[in-house]
Amino acid sequence: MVDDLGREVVLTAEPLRVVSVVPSHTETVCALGACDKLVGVDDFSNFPEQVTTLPTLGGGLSGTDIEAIVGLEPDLVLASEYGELATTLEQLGLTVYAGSPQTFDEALEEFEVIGQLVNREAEAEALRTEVVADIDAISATVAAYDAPQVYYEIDSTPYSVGPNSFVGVLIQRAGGENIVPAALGDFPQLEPEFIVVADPDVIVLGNGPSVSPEVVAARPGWSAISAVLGGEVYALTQEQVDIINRPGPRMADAVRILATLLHADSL
Amino acid sequence: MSLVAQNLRFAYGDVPVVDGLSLTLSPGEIVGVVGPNGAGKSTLVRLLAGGLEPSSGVVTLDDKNISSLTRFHLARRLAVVPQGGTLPGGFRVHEIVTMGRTPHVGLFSRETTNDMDVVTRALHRTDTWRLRDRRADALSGGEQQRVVLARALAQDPDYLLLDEPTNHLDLRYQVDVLRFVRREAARGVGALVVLHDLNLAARACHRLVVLAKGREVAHGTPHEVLRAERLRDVYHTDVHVFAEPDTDLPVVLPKL
Amino acid sequence: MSQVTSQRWLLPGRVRWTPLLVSFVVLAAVVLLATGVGSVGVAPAEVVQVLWFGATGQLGEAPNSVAATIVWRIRLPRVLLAALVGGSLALSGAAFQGLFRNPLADPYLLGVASGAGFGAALTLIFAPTVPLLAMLGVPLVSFVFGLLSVVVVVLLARQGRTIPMVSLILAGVVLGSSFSAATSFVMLLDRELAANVLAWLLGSFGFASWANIAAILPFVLVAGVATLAASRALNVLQLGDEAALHLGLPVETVKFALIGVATLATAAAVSVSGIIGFVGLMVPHAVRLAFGPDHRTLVPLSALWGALFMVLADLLARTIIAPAEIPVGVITALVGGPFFLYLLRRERRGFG
Repeated sequence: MVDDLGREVVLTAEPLRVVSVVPSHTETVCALGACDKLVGVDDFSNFPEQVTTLPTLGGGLSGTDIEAIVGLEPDLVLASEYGELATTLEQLGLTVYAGSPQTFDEALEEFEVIGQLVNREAEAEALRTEVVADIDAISATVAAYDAPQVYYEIDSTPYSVGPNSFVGVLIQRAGGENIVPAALGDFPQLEPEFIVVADPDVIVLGNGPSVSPEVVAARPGWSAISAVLGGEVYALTQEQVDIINRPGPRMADAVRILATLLHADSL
Repeated sequence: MSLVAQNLRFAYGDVPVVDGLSLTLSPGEIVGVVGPNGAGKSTLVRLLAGGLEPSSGVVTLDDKNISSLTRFHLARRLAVVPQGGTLPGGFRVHEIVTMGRTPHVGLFSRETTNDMDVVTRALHRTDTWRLRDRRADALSGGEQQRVVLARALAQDPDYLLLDEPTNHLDLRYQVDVLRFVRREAARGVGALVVLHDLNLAARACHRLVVLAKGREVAHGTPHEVLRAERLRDVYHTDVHVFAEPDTDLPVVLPKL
Repeated sequence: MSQVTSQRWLLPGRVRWTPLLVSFVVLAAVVLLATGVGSVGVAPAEVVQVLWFGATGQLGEAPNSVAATIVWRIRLPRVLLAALVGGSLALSGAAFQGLFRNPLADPYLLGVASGAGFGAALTLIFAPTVPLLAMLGVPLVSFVFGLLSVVVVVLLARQGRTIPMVSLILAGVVLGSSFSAATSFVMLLDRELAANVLAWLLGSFGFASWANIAAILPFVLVAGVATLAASRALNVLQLGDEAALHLGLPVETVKFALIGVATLATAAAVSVSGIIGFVGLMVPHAVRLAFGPDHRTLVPLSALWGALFMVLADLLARTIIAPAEIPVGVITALVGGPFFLYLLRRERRGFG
């Protein structure tokens, strides 16, 4: 198998000691019933509950703790393609898969990739089928309602998400229409005035706890936006942000959360 | 009517730079201050001009302690030509010279026609009128020094303090500067000039003060002061002293 | 000091009103234009109409209420804030370049920006966990830290009653680096919120409001009046500290006062807009090249040109790839850099 760095990942036997430093990979491994293979995870991997007792290997302020990873003697490390981590670990003789899904479709395919790596291919196919069916069901339900115009805020700069980004597709599957045109790319910084003019029906704040609906309502000119007038500005909890941002097995939950917010009146 | 220093002392930390100097500068008189490097000549000028506070002793201007005068008041009576330095970029000569009117005009009003008349005269008297629209920083060293003299004149002062005004100038401009001082003295201005060239000092000044290590070593007419033995002690250098045939003024020649 | 010279004598100088008036008219026109351009185009006539309704407090009466809201509540504050910030940065830049007799000085020289940046980073990162920081808000905290850093720099550099300029610059550079390092450290504590810090550091007028304008206007006005009043003193200061002192200028007082007001204005500007580079350095320099070093022209023209430049930069920032936006600090550096080089080349050929 070839990972996102174009490297061939060769496993001679089913890995028994797996380290994951990407939260969505951690979730996928566990969803495939291989949670007991995990011997260590990064600081941000907090789901499922089971992984919170594992040794944490950094990823925040101090960077990833390479020595600790090596010390765990893993036979497989699941990393992302970003940074120097994968190459460094490989040079130290570890087997490393470096990759992370960027789009909705890649996220579904990633189940099979991880499934192959941890020898849970049948479970991976089942998981994919289940997630797809789950999401299709939600989409079918909300199709009955008018699609609201949605503004999803990543942070208060303000950065948003384009319709082709992972979260952008989640919004679409949840029956919302993103106000951001596809031409702006996946993570555009928007001119605030454009948002006022676009007049979204729903505003979803994925900033974590730093921005509240009151803060949004107080922005100059924003009090006239339909979402603000209609009380449809929702600040996601940190847990909800995690679910929505992670291209992993909880994608259907992500769509469900968004669908509930976008069709609060109807559902 | 005079600028008087009484028993001035000034020290940087524990090191005395000026150590008990007294001096009187009267209208129309030129006093030369000579002495080796580090004798305290520039410090003396700063003390006299109120730019430094003496550790002890006082400077009085017409019997008033200068520390009781406002800065502008002092600058209307007394102008300083500081040592060296180039003029700032971009300004025209007439702009630089007009800045000499600052103590009269203040910081918040504009020059009157009268102020500009003074500036005009200052330019003419320093032969810089023809340079008035040139950029000051583009002039030669000698021309720049004239502009600084003009700025001092624009202050319309009763006393002029010049710190090594002939430094880095060629012979013509050195003579120029000292002739200028003579003319101003003839008009009643009291001038104190710090000089390195003893022969020029002997010809330009009425009185000379010899400083060494912050103290006065000698004081009097050039004749009285410029003696071979004394100069050897002060400068640690052997010199010949002759009399110039026509004027009988001393000529100092170092022995190599 | 543009004395009119005749053949035989000099006449008193006159303030050069023409460039000031022309610049002011151009600025007013550009403000009107910029206020009309955006997601919804508004014709200049309609802008003026909205301004009238807005200024007389009857915004509801305006014929097109969407346009009225956008112009009055979003765009006009944004444009005016850009003008105020640009004006005060350039004004402070002119004051600093004059004080330090160094054309490379800028209003951030003594650490205002890095101090304010640290304050902003602290607030953005810790506001979720420290209610006090959330309550004070980014502008206030960054303003306080901006002032604080300059106070510390001045105290570090002070020797008795005088501040040697070299010590001042050194202390400014050192404290600036320390604050920048501290900012980076704080940013590492939360990588997701760090994006907000980075965005703030790059500068933006995205959420400009009338409240921002009201908050900084007093500081900008005080700094403007004080620096204008000190323009003659700044001229004399160009002769060197010693010569200025002997002309009766209270040199240290002038320096303290100008550093004080310029710092207040800069910290105020930074607190509402982030750290926007190049304006404070480049604009006074450009004015000096065009109109010479007389601060009586240099100071007010710098303020006007700084305002003009910033309004145009922000206009570009929000229109080039609309409705997406580019941080305005990126524009000022991108446009400012080459323009500055062009000016330097022109200068080398000698200005008239």
